[in-house]
Amino acid sequence: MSKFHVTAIVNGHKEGLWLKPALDSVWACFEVAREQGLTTELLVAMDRADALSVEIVSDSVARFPHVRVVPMNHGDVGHARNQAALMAEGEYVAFLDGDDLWGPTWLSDAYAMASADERELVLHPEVNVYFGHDPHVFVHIDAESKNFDTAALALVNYWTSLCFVRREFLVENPYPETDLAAQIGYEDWAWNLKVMSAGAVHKCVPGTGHAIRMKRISLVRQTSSAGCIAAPSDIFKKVLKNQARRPDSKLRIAV
Amino acid sequence: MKPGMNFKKLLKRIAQLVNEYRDAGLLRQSDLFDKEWYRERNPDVPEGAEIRHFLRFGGREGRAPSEKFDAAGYLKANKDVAYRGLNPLVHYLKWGKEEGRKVAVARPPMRVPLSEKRRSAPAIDLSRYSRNGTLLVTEQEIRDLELLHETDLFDAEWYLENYPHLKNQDPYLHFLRHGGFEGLKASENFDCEWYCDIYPDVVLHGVHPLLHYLKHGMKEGRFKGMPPKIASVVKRTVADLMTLDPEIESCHPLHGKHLRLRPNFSIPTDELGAAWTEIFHDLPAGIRHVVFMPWLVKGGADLAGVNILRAAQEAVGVSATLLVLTDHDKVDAFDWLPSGSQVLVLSDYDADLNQQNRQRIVEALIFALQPESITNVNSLACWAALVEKGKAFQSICKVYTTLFCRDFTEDGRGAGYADTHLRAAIHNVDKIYFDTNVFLEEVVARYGFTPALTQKLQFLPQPALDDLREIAKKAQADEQRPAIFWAGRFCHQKNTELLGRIIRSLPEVALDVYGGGEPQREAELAALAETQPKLRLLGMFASFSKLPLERYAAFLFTSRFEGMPTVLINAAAAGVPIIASNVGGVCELVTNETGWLIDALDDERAYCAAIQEILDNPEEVQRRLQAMRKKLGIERSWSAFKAGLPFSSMSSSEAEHV
Repeated sequence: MSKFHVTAIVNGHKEGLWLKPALDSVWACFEVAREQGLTTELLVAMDRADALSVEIVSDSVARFPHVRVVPMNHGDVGHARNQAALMAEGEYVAFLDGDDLWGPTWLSDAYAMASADERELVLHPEVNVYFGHDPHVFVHIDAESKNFDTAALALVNYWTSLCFVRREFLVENPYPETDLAAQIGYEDWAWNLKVMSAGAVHKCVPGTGHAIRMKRISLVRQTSSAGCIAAPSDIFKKVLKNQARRPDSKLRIAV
Repeated sequence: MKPGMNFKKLLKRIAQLVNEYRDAGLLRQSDLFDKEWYRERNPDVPEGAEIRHFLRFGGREGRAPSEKFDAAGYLKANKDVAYRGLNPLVHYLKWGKEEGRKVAVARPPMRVPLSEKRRSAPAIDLSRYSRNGTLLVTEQEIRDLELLHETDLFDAEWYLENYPHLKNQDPYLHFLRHGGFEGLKASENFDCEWYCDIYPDVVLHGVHPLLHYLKHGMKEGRFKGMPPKIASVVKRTVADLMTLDPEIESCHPLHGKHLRLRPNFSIPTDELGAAWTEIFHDLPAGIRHVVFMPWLVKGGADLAGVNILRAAQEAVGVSATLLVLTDHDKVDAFDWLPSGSQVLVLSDYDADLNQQNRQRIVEALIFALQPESITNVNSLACWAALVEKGKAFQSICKVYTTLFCRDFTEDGRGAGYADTHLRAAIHNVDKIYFDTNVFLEEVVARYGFTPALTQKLQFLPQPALDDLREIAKKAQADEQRPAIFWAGRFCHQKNTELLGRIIRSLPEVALDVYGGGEPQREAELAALAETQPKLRLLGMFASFSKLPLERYAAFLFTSRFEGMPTVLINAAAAGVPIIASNVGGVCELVTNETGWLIDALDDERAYCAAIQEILDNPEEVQRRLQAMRKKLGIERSWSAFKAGLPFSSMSSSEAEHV
């Protein structure tokens, strides 16, 4: 039996002065969740964090009744999330990067959706508002929408890492290893594929949004410039196995 | 909203209304505006709103204000008026008349009898746009209407539901002629007002917003806006969070009536996404080995690729292999492929894919199929992928590639993957197969490969074809063969000018020449044939094995540079004596034990001596042919070729002989 309905896991590293708005958005979410009768805890995973970030977190979390700030030494956001999930005491966990913000209804709406569905769901906000450098909107696709197609997951990642998921499922299906030297990166993309293969359904919580800070230098850009791919997954082979030949297939067969 | 901005907007609106009032007065006084005539021809215009409609929309849309004034013609003839988005009649009355600009009477739209044939059958039912057998729409309008019927960005049902005053009109025609220009929404997913607001150049040029997006904007990477439901979630998220982080508040594109934001809808909708999605749904399951080639033409490298595919098929089964032609759509040698071979031609999905997208598809294929191994046989897209992401591929599969001797450009510069891609990719490759030892050693020496790197390089002689061995048997039984032959492309590399000198030195020897190529060389050889009766030009040949090889005493090979020409392997397999220039890897097959190897590449006397010896000394010919047969049996058998490849270690439940 979990102690809380939801654990908010904030991944901190060297976000410095950007951490406060992130934690403020968690607080706003907790307020709405509390009104809905949900219990929450905050777990801040400080992976090789700098002194300023540690100090800001320390000053900002005092108001949270259930909070733990956990120093870590992974240097890898996937590993940090895995460790945080192991330590979390909520039935569900929700991830937030230390420089991003959740919309206020995110946790309560996601909890309502997840708890009403017997299937294993991985939940995402409907929209992500990217602000700062190159502002744009990233609209998540629901894996059960009519436009969904697994194919292009081989080209791009459909969902951000700020998901809402059952804690035990995450512990059983942790984020895969990344190794930039071996050109294996994109822990979130790889995990999104991995959980699909494990039978989970990626769904969007209608009406919810996150704000994502765009920086000129980001981990994604570093990973991209290193020529990385996501850790391979067998999800595509599974899809192909059940795929019937199209009547208008252009695959040529020699006679 | 800042108070200053409100005031500015208010002033602007007042100025617009004042101008409109003045212009309306101008129209009322002019006999070039006919209210009744305008309403009759524009049933979407409410009674009493004719002047306002013409000033706000009709004029810029090119609707005629009366039969005396051709607004569309005026805009067409006076680009400055159209470019500035001015009302044509107002412009004429205020300035154009004094400037001497011409006006024409309004003409009804070109009406085409229904029976008149169009270039192609329209994709829409034209009867709804005709009356008494006459079309009421122009050819251009038919094409635009077809576009509107095709796209899901225009929803006719939604359009009529949301603009109920148009219920008696054809929604497509109204949207095409008027609604788009008036900033109406085409559907939940396309708002003309938004598009025009974001892209004022569309307004300035008087282009229909949705048609602009479909014809140009999409290709130019312009945005089509976002559905209102999504926009409202974005606005709410921004409103909720801007108090928490002032950077959100100061991010201008997030605010205002129209969100000036690039929307990204998870699944890519560009040409790469479209091509890849279609490719993915054509992919067979259970692929264990993929061969990447640029194309499949009748060349030596292509034959090498087919041989590698065939070897993989024999190891893992035909259905577990896939041949991907990455760079071009040429498939002239498709009949070389073993039966059942599965071939993906990227150009079948989009002939205009750029090189970068072809590379991305190669990467996606490896990522999605997760084969046990891949072989790259001269595919540029695959070489580029190996350079950029080869290390990652090695976590998925074994990576093999081939290297053939470098090509030379017209001006004599060397060009090949060995020079451009090998050094960057070698760390990401498990094995590289060379068809000649000469080139392998040259690469090692030129780039200073360490022993560890050299370990990755392997000489893999291409096998001789079985069907040519049958010709050899037949030839042995035949009588003496007095003529010699040359076969190849007429170009600098093949040294066709040497043929002239040889035939002049040995005018009594018959020389048959197969092939074609550069027009000037063709003309020179044709002129030579007129003066040398023993020279016959026999044109292009479909394949070496189709030539009447048994007729000839020798095959003459005169190239200036080569790797290991397949044509020599074929001639050797067919039991034809070979006289060959000592270039590239030729000496690995033709020696003075197995044929006649000419070191003096451009000296006709050396070739003539060899020809003479072949014609005069049949015993020596038989001795050397015997030596060649033995060499082929040891070095260039199919089993030797397969043993050189790594596929035998791939276990198979359905391996078969191909």
